[in-house]
Amino acid sequence: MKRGSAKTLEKEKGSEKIIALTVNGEDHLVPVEDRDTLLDVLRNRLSLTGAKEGCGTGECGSCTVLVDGKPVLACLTLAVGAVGKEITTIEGIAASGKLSPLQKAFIDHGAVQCGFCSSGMILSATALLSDNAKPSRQDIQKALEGNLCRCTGYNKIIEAIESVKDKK
Amino acid sequence: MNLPRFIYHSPSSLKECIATLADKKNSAQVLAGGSDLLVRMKLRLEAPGSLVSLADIPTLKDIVYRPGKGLTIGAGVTLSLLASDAVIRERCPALADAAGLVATNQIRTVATIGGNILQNTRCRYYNRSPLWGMAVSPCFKRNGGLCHVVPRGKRCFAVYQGDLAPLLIALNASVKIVSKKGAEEAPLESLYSGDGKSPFNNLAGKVVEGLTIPEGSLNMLSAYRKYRLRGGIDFPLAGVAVALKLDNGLVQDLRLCLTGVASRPFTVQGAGDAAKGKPLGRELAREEGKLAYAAAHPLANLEGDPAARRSMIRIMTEDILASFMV
Repeated sequence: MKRGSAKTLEKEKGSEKIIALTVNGEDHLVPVEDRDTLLDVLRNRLSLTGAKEGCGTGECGSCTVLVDGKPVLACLTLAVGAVGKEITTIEGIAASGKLSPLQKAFIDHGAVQCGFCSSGMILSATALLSDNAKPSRQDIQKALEGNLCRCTGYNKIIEAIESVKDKK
Repeated sequence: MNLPRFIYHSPSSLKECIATLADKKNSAQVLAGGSDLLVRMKLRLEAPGSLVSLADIPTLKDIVYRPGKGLTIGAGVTLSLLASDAVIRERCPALADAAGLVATNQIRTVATIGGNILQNTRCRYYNRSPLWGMAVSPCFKRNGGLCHVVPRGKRCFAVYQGDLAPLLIALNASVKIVSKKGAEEAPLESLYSGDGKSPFNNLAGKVVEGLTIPEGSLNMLSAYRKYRLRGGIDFPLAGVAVALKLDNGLVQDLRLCLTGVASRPFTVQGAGDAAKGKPLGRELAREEGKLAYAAAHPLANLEGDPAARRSMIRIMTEDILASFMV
């Protein structure tokens, strides 16, 4: 970038607009560019770093958040397209600092190792359990097909989800 | 990973959408679910000046069954809705099953049937990062002049890997295309050019509004099978769709369409003629499997071994026909 050139700076920066996003029940006014993904805005503007950027191309699921209760990939969702929708991140799952039963089960079953996939896993499982309170093991596997974990081998994660299902 | 810059439009009607697309100041591209296009944009394989989102056009989300006319599905219907909708489950369960096999739960939440049938072709030399691209001479699809898969090839051999188009083609589906000049109905098959580099016949300034599966096809037995390395996520390395009409145990009509083996959804010519009037049985399944095998020519442009992918075409064809015998 050429030094001191305001015009170049603007071109480099792109034009921003202010949008209203509802995240974890709170309304936020955030400046965004059209090209910003929901993940960029959550992490960089709202400091909600629970959603991770793994592959950035929609394969790993570590950026999973809930939009209107359904799991989506924040890295492939445009922030400008999320206006007027209810966005839930992992930070919104623990109501007033108390872990959700699913989060607790992940800890109790050792379903967390490096933790990079955990927020996505928990949100995918939260969406599953809200649709289907008693999913079969196969339903759980199908619901988690878009969440890759490189540490646990999945069994403990599935067991954690099954333990919550059994309590319902 | 950043997206390249673009201007975002979100029209609330199809008319407004067509008008925005027609304004050619920027190279405008239609954005449906974005799970295919945004990835290619992130990899800098495409950089449209503006994106016209279909998300706010309510008429694209209808699923309507009209007795005698068939099943009409709006292009904006998401794959998760397609997989679970009661009308689709009742009238065309094979389509609901096929939709459930696409990608992952998160992608099916946003990806649409229109976006799926217009999914771009893929190749191990194309769907790569810009850094990777710097290490290899650009192929046809990267605006170069060669093909790494077929070194003496005169065109791009990137593969069409959509899951729904082969089934919809086997079911004789038609598409409604809307442009500035009005709406036209065309067979779904006519959308595909067969060229890996630009896989669709001219759709500039046009929008696919929806698809119709005719009533006659809804009464057929139909199924789709998909071969992939993992049980989820993956694109089909090979896929087979069959639609079959029986009359007193004898085949009246049979249509066979493949995916993952050519630059377009590939209809197996002669599959119907070979089966007409014959009883549905093991022998017919073997014969159709051989026909599908002979017609499929997968190349070394995807992860799997082409010979294994070709064999899977035969096996899946036989498997589908065997499932109809029960």
